[in-house]
Amino acid sequence: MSETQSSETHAANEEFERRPVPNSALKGPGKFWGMYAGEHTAGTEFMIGPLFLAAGASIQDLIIGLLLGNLLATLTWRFLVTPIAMRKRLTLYYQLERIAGGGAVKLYNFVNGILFCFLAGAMVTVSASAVGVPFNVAFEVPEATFGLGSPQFTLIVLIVGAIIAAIACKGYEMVARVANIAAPWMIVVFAACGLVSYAQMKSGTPFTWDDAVRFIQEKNGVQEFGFWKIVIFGWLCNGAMHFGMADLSIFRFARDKSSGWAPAIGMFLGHYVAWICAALLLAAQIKLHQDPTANPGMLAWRAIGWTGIVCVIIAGWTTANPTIYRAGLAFQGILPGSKRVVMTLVAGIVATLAGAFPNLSGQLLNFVGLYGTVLGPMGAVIFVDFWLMKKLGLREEYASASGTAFHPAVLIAWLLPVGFGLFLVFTNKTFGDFPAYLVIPCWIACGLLYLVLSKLTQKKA
Amino acid sequence: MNSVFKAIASGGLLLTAAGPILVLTGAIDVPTNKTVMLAGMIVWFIGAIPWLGGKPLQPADDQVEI
Repeated sequence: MSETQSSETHAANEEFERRPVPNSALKGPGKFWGMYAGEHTAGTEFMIGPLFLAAGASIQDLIIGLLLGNLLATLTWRFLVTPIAMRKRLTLYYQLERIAGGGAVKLYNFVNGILFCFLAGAMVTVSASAVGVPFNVAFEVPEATFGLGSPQFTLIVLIVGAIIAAIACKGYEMVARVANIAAPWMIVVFAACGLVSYAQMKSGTPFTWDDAVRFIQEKNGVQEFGFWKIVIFGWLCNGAMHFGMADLSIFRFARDKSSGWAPAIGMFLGHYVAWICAALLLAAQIKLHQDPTANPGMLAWRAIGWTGIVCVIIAGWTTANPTIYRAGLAFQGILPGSKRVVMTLVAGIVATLAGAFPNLSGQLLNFVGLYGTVLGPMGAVIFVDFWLMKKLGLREEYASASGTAFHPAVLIAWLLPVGFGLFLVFTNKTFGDFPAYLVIPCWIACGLLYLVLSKLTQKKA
Repeated sequence: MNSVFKAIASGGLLLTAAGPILVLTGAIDVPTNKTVMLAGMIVWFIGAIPWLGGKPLQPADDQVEI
């Protein structure tokens, strides 16, 4: 039997990491709709929503821009990821290994792990912001990117980070169950935040979204977050998952093509309703307390009390936990002799240290774009390998066929555009002030380079 | 037994949703809503832990989505 043919015999808990998912393990569309509904209503939403308002986005642009951006994201999942996932039925990592080589996958995974640590760090900050509220610990965002908050807040971050890292060392199962239990309730809580905040804005002297934007801009200076920026962000904030093909690992279980529409529920509940509701929390807070700080814990506490505190803690924790767990696995891949528990702890420590700098979580809009810019282009390699290589007379899955651990065509095609993109980001050149703009150019450049370099290297071979 | 837990959880969810709607219509104030939502949360978890806690994990559960 060839390696890509499926076998029907498998253990009940087998994850099919190095073989195609067999027919008997496929899942119907309902499972995917349920999964995506919960996955995108999480800790990041409490942070991203208010940041739109803080960045000066108008409510009209937000409503229409996110609608369009989320629609484009859903289409990308449906028509870019799902067809390849259903034909190959392999994880992203195994597909990359066959195309780029085991060493290249370790490098990709390591970079992914580092980025995961910073994402988890932001979620530690989110959870700590809620833990600090009952203890009256202020969430202060210092001027400097690597400036610490108050000593008490830093202490809470360290305690929360340590607990999350310790739980991540035990695996992801228990926290995944907590996330599944909380998911339907969390969706309602997000909506509740929006309704209560809207009622607070309407009551007494009416206060509009524009008033809130004006207040923030008077305090923090004028910022601009226009329609197309919102569209691009809504589309590409999950760039690593759709353009980057990370969700091949999910859709390889799809029985039906229609499962590819399931991310729509995550987009429209999480990245539409939840973001706007979370943003309304900040608008209401500005009206009632003249406080423009995007402190997720305090925002939720002021609107809905203890329910908000519990929701923010669970949302942050259940996002940070699998992130630290997967970062630990990535680090373990680099050092094969190491223990997963030790590597998870290392990831947890890095995440906790990142979480101690509140400004990093305040940069979540840019971080998410950077994440897609760095990891997204690898999806172009998979796309080209799947759709174009054979048609152009080139060999697919070249590393697997040639037995190389580092297929240079993939590495150069990935690192060159990403390196140039990072240069633009960190030197603040054109488009670099908003990294999400770079996801698609880097993706296209990577795909084209991979094709050209394959033509050259495979001929030589 | 599962249907009982499901009913309890649904009741909790309804209570959680009802409070904010009543705030919006002006029927209750924000402090009262905080109590209603707290009660709703407790009822939700009483029902949802035994109802949803034992369900098998899905492929997305160990994945990271933003």
